Amino acid sequence: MPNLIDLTALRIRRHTFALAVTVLMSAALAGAGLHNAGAEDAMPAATADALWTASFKDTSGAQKTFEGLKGKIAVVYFWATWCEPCQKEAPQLKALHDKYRDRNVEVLGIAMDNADKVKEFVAKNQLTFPIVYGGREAIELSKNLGNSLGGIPFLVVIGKDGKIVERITGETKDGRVEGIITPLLGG
Amino acid sequence: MGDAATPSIGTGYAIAASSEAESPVHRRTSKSLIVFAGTLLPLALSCAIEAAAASGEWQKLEFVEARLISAVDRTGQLAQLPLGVELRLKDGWKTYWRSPGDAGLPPVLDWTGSTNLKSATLSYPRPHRFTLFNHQTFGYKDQVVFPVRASVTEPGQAVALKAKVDVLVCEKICVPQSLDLELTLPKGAAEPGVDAQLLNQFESQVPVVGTASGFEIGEVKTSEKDGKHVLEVSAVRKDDVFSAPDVLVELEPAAAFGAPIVSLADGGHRANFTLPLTSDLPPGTSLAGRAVTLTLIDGDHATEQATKILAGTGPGLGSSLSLNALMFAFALLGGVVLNLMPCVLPVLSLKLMSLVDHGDAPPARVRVNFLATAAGIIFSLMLIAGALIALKSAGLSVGWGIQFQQPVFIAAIAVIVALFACNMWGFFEIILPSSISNFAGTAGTGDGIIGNFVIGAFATLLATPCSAPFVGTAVGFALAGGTLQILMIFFALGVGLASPYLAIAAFPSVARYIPKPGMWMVRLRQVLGLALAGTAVWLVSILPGQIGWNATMAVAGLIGAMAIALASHALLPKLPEFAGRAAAAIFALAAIALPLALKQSPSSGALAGKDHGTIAWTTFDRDQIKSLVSQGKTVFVDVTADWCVVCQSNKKLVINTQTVSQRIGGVTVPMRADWTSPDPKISSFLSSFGRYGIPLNVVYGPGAPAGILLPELLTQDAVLKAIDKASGKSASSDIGTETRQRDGT
Repeated sequence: MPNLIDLTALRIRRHTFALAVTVLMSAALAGAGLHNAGAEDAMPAATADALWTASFKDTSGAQKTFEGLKGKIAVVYFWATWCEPCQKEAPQLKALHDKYRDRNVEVLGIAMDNADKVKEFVAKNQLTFPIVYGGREAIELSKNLGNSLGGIPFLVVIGKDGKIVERITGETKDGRVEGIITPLLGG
Repeated sequence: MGDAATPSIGTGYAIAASSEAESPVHRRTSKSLIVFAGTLLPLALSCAIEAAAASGEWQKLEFVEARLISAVDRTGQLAQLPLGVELRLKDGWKTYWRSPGDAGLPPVLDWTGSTNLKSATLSYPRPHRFTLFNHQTFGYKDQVVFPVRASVTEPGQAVALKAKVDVLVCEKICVPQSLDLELTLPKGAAEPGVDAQLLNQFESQVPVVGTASGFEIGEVKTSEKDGKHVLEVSAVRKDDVFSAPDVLVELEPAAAFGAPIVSLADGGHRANFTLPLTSDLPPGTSLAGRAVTLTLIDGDHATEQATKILAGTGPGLGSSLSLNALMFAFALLGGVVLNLMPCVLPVLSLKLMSLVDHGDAPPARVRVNFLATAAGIIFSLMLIAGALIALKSAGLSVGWGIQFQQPVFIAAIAVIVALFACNMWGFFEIILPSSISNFAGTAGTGDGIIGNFVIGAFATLLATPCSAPFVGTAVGFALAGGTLQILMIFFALGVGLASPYLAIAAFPSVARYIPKPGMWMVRLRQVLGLALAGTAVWLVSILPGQIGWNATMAVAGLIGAMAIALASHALLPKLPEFAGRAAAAIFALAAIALPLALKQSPSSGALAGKDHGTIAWTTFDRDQIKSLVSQGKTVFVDVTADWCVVCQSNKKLVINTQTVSQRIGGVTVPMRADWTSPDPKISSFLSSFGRYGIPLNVVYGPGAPAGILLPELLTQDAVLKAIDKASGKSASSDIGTETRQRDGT
C-alpha cells in the first residue's frame, strides 16, 4: 500500500484520471480475490457427516458406503468425465493415492457420471484409487460438504476427527493437497 | 403465467430492472450486465415501441441466463412455431454442442408441462472448436440461440411452453445448470416478434444439409499408420476459396479425433483434412464401414453430411519404413518439379541469367554462389518446418496453402515479380527498396553469398502459394506424422527445389559453354521478362476469388501503372528518373495495400459484406412499391443480411450473374432491404409472406401487384420467369419459359 500512495503523490497532477481508474481496478481485483478466497475459506467449519450417510455404486455395480474412512485422512474428489478441468487432475490424485495409501490417507473419487464413461476413463488413465459414481445425489452431497456453486472439480480434505480441513473449488495446483495433509499425518 | 404472456418490454430493460434485486453474490455479474444492457438500450427502446411479447422472461443463474424467444408474437395459423432457446454466458464461460468432444455435455430440453405442443426439435448453430492441451471440445461462448421447431397440436390456439433446460457451463470449473423457462403465445394474427431477427440470425448458422452451402464433402477414408488410425476427408468449395476450413466428426459409438491437418489445393477450392483418432479402437478393428456425420465449417458457411467411412487404399496401410522412403522420394521429386511451376520458374530464370552475365566468372565463384542459393532454399524450408512443428505442438491445426487466405501476400509477390520483369526489360537497372537491394542487386551481378542465399529463400517464398504433383501428398503425409517426418519431408522438398542449383554447383564449368555476350542476351532478357510478367499475371488471377473482380482489376491496373512509371524514364528520357520511381513506389504500395483495405470481414473474406454485383440497388421502401407498380414498373425486392449465408450464395450464384443482374438492373427497380440489424419494418414485410427469416425475394409488377414470392434457394430460371410474369411480358419475351411455366403449374 505505501508504494501505491507514493505513486499517487507523484502522478496525481498529470494522471489523476488514469490513476483513479488503476486504483479502482486494483481495488476491484483485490475484492474479487477476497471474494474467491471467501468462497473456499470462509465456510463455516463443518464436519463430513453427510458423507457417512451417503451411498454410491462403484464401477462393478457394488453399493458402497464410506464409514470406513472415519478416523482417517480422507481426500474426496468430485469430478466427471465431461468436466474438462477435471481431466488433468486425475493423474495428480493417482500419484497422491499411490504415495500416501499406506499412511492412513484415503483418496475417494465421486464421479457425477455414468458407469461406462467412468470405467473407460479409469482404464485409460489407469486410476488406482477407489471411485464411485452418481447423478444428482452426488452433486447434492458435494453441496452438503460445502460446494456452494455445485461445480466441479471440487475437493474436500477431511481430518481424522471427521472435520473438513479444506475445500477446493476448481483446479488444485500440484502439491497443494500434499501441503494440506502433511501436517495432519502426525496428529 | 395465465392467458396473456408476461410482457418483457425489451432485452435491455429486463436485465437492468431486475438486477436491482440481485444478491451481493450476483453483483459482479449484474454490473457487467448493466453495461451490456446499456449498449442494448437503443434496441430495447425500439423493441419497446413494438411491445410485442414474443420472448419469455430471463431466468438467471450465476454463470448463465436463458429465455425462450419466438419469431412470432401470436400463434396465427402456424402448424410449426419458429422458437428458440437463448443462452447468455458469463465472460469466459462456455457451453456445448450436441457432440461436445473430449469433455462436456450437450444441452437437454424437457417440454413437459407445455400445452398445445405436439413436439419440439432443437437444432444447433455451428459450434466453435476449443483446443486446450490437445483436448478438443465444441461449443459456444457469450451468446447462443438454439432454434426450435415446435409443432402445435391445435393450430390457431394459444400455446403455453414450459422448458426445463439442463446445460453444462464450464470455465475453470464445470457447473451443471438447470433453468425453467416459460413462454406463452396467445392466439391471433402471427405478427413478427421483436426477436425474429435474432432467431433468424442463429438459424442461418445451423449447418445446411446438402450442397446449398456451396461446398461438398467428398469421400471419407480411414487408414492406419503405425497402429494409429487416421480419417481423411476431402471437400470442395465451388462458390469461393476456402479460408480456414474445419471439419467436425461424429461417430456412433463416439470416437475422438485430434484437430485436423488441413491442406488446400486447386487454388484453394479443395481442402484435404487428416484427423488422427485419439480414442482407442479394439485391436484389429478399423473405422471402415462405420456411419459418420461430418460438419464442415468455413467462416460463416457450414454444411452437414452423413456418410460411411471407406477403407483407405494405397500406401496408407503400408509399412512405415517403406512409406517414409516413398514419401521422401515424392517430396524430392515434387521439389524438382516445383522449379518448373510458374511461381518458381522466374527464380531459376534469374539465376540462369546471372550465369549468362558472368559466363567468365571462375568456376569456384559460380559454385559458391549456387551453393548459397541452394542453402537458402533448404534453410528457409526447414524454417517453415520448424514453424509448422511449433504450431502443431501448440495444438493448432496446420496446413499447406494457408497463403491462399492472404490476398496481401499474393499481391505483394505479384508486385515483386513484376519488378523483376521490369528489371529484365531494362526499365530500370537497380531495384532499390533498400531492404531488398542486397539480394536484388546481386541477382543482377551474381555476387555475394548473402545475396544468393536470400534469393534461395525468395524461391521458397514463391513456391509456397504453389503446388506441384507429389508435393501435396508428401506435405500432407508430413503434417499428419511426427516432428521427424515433417523435418524429413521438408528437407527432401528443399533438396528437390534446390536441385538445379546443386547441379550447377557440381558442374560450374557449364558456364564456360555459354556463348559470348551479345544481342542474344538482350533477347533472352526480354523472354525471361515475359516469363516473369506471366507469373505476375498468374498470381493476380488467384485474387478474384478472394477480393472480387473489381478489386483484382484495380490491383492489376496498379501493377501495370507501376511498370509504366518505371518505363517512363526509358521511354521519355526527359522525365526525371526519380519521378518515375516515386510514382512506381506509390503504385506498388497501393497494389499491396488494396487487398489489405478490403479485409473488412476477416471471417468470411470477400463473401460477407461486399457485393460485387453491378445492380444499382435502392433502399427498401415498402410504401413506394405500390406507386411504382401503378406507374407500370416492376420492382425486385431482395431482403438480405451479412450473416445470412444462403443470401450470399444466392447473390453469387444467381442475382449477380450476368444474365440475371442485367435483367434486374435493366427492367426492374431493384430494392434491397438489409436485415443485418433488427428492423421492424423488414420483419413485418417478411411476416406478410408468412416468413420470419431470410432470404426473401419478391417481384412486384403490373402482372403481379401482390408480388411473386421466389423460393429461398434462387435459381436463374425462377428469377427471370418471375420478372417476366410480374412485368406482364411473359408471353412475348420467352416462349420456352412460358411453356415451362405452364408445365410447372
